[in-house]
Amino acid sequence: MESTSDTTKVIDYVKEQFFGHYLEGLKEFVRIPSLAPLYDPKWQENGHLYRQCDHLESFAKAQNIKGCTITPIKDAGRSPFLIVNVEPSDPANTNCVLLYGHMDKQPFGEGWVTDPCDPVIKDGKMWGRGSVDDGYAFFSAVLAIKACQENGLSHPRCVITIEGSEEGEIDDLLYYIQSYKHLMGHPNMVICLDAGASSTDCLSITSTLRGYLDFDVKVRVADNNMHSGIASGICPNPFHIMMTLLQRLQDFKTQQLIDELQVQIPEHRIHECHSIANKLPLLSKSLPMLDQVKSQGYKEGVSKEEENYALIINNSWRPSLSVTGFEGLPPFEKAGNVIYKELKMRCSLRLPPGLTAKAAAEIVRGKLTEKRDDETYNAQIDVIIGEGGNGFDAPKLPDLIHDKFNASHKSVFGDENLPMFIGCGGSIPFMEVFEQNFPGTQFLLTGCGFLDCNAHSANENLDLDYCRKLTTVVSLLLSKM
Amino acid sequence: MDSPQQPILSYIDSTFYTTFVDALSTFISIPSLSPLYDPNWKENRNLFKQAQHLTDFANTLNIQGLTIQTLEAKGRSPFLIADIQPTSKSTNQVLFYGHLDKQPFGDGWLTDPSTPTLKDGKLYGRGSVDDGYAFFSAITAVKACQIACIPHPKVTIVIEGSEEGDIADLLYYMGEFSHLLGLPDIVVCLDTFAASKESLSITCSLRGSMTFDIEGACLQEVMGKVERLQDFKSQRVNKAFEVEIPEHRRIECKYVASKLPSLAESLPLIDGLQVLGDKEEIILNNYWRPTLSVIGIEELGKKIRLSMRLPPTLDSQKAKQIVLEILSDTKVTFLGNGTGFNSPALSDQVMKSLNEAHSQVFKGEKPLFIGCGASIPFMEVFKAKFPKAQYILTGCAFLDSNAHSANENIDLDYCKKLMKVIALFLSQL
Repeated sequence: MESTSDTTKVIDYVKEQFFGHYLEGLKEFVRIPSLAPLYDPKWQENGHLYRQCDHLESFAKAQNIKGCTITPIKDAGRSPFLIVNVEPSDPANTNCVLLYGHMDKQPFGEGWVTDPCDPVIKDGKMWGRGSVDDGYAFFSAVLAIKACQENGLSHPRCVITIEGSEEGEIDDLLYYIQSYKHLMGHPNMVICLDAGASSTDCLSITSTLRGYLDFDVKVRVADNNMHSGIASGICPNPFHIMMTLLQRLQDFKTQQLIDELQVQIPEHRIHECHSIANKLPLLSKSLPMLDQVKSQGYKEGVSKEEENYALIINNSWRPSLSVTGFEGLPPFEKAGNVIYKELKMRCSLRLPPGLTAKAAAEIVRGKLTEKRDDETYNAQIDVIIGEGGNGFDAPKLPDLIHDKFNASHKSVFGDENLPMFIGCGGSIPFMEVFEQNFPGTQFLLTGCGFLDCNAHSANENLDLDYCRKLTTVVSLLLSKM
Repeated sequence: MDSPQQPILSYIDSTFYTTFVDALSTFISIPSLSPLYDPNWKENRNLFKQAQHLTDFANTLNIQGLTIQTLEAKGRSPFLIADIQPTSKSTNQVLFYGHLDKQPFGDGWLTDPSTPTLKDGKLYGRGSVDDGYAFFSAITAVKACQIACIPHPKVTIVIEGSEEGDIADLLYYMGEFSHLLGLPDIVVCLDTFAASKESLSITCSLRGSMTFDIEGACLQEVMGKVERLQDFKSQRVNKAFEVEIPEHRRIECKYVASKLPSLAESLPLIDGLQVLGDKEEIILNNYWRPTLSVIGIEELGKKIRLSMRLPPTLDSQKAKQIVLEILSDTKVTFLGNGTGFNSPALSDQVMKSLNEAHSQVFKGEKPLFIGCGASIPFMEVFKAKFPKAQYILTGCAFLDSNAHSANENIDLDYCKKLMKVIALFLSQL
């Protein structure tokens, strides 16, 4: 059992290192334009991802971590993958913690105030592409382990895995995990350092993720387009049929999806959502919505907390549907008085945790292909199921780990600030991979991704002090395991 | 026994395949594309050449009491007015309408669109059925009356040069040269459809139209609004846009249903598609009921463009008001609108004359009174100008006449019958 002074030493050590080696390492990370293969067709020729991998490798080496094996893997045609294995301080410790991050980056995009590859430190933040998504992950993981060793604290076996294609295809991660599983041990905890943060007073633990399902719907009524004066009232309009189909999944007025696509929300998640609804500002306020537009949680006479709760539940636990593409209908400037022969629509469905993409696909297909001639007029209807990914509902942390985590958190953020367990409306496909490959393991998804960190847009930035605190909490947690 | 009108029919029979077809062939060979489709129309003067061709043709017929002139206001397409003094004591005046401008050629022609080609009783070429025959038919019908020495009323033929494009020129000429048009009792528009070879088709109603954009936060929200205007499942528009269908029109629609194949058969529908009602119902839908189509989309459905077809008797300004009432909480932008047309009932005398003329030519058949689901913008101009006139809209445009597509053609024998009906009709007024 470590003492208060041990805790202080760790906090001080992390602080000292953080604003030294750590920042230098992260700056170099920002300088290397290691875009994800999806966004950089020439990545194999320009070698940016490989250089990033080399940079991380040499940084790790320079730390002189005891019991450390560094394995950069660059299999042909695949993005690089880095595994850093650190043996436990005590061979009797059978725990194994896997720390996850990625080295690839989003494309730069327009609107940067500074050069996206020039790490600028201003107002306590580091600006630059990759700073918060997900450069800090590797450096924080390394520093957390090093802090234990330097201060004479114990730590379990740690495996840091840094992938090179998080922003793109998931194939590479699947491949590396399957091919190199023997290098990863049997982690009983996965700490994923690539998630969101919602308050500077505490860490946010992403406890759920929604899944997703993309699908296309095609409706055909004729072999040629038709003059709307000549054909209307005779030929059923394919657009109306399309909308009728969509309404089999969703009520346009309430925008709620059908019961079949909903899940039973676990009681403890409802409590969590209530508790964060009171702590966080209204979720809708962080979106660029028009002032007069009411949020989907708004109801006459409802309190702000209740509205926020409804939004949090909607965003974390309910399905939602967006139309993401339309083919067959022209833009206004080319719009003639025509009934179109065929229309295509692409939909993206967010799925509640617990409903698999496969199950959702069956529901969608079943609903959309159900024949009702008074609605669809025997039109030719095709449903093409696209990509899908399952959501995630983190297993409840065992009390022991939960207590250790809370203690570490308290040491850094103070007694009154508990970590916040929140859901995420988006999807993190790799979570599924970990869940399947390491069944029964515990998950801790956390990170520095505040909404104004602009992880996928211009002016990406990392709140340095918050990141330092996160690193400290991880270090203290490791020291207790 | 020969009727006194036999010389009319004989004249047409003897000159149709020579004089008329020659004139129509020349019409085809002059590429008088509508100004909208021919930016060089002022330089190449094809529209003016066409007007000259019509004038020359009229002059060679030596028609008694004919005054013909082509108006050429600066910057505007030509507008031809032929005026023929009455040979009867009748105070009636008949105005014929047609146009000399053409649709662009487009792709897919089997023959040259400007080379008149006679095949299987049809004359192929751009402008043949839309609307070359109109002038020649009207003027020949007058001549036929004169040859037969049967009195005819005052006849005015107006041929515009921009029907396929902007309506501004028609409005201008009809406003500025009102004194040359007189005050017709009967307006015969020779630019519409033919539904059956067994009779003429008289288009007695046209739907109006209205185009507007609506906006919202996402497709679903916008569609929630659209649903107030129409039910997606039944595809029926909100009852607020419906009108009481006049009983005599219902009877006509029933008659049309009994005479014609289903309207759906002429559409390129996929096999097995269920249309929006039985034979009679889809006629009522298409002629008399409002319909709504989404015709354009922006920003994935945050903005959509809607086109509504309106019942013939629903004022389009009123339709706008209904939209605004139903969508009072929505941003709506109107782009254009036009009121439909419901032809006033023909007087007993006119109906009798028409029926008799028709019966002689079409073996005892009555003309078919049909509606049209589309709009004909110039009818609004005429209706406003001559609110008390009776209207007869007819023509030779079968669906396979390809009026606006490749391989346009006119069924010559049918056109000859149309000409005969007109001539007999004139002789009885």
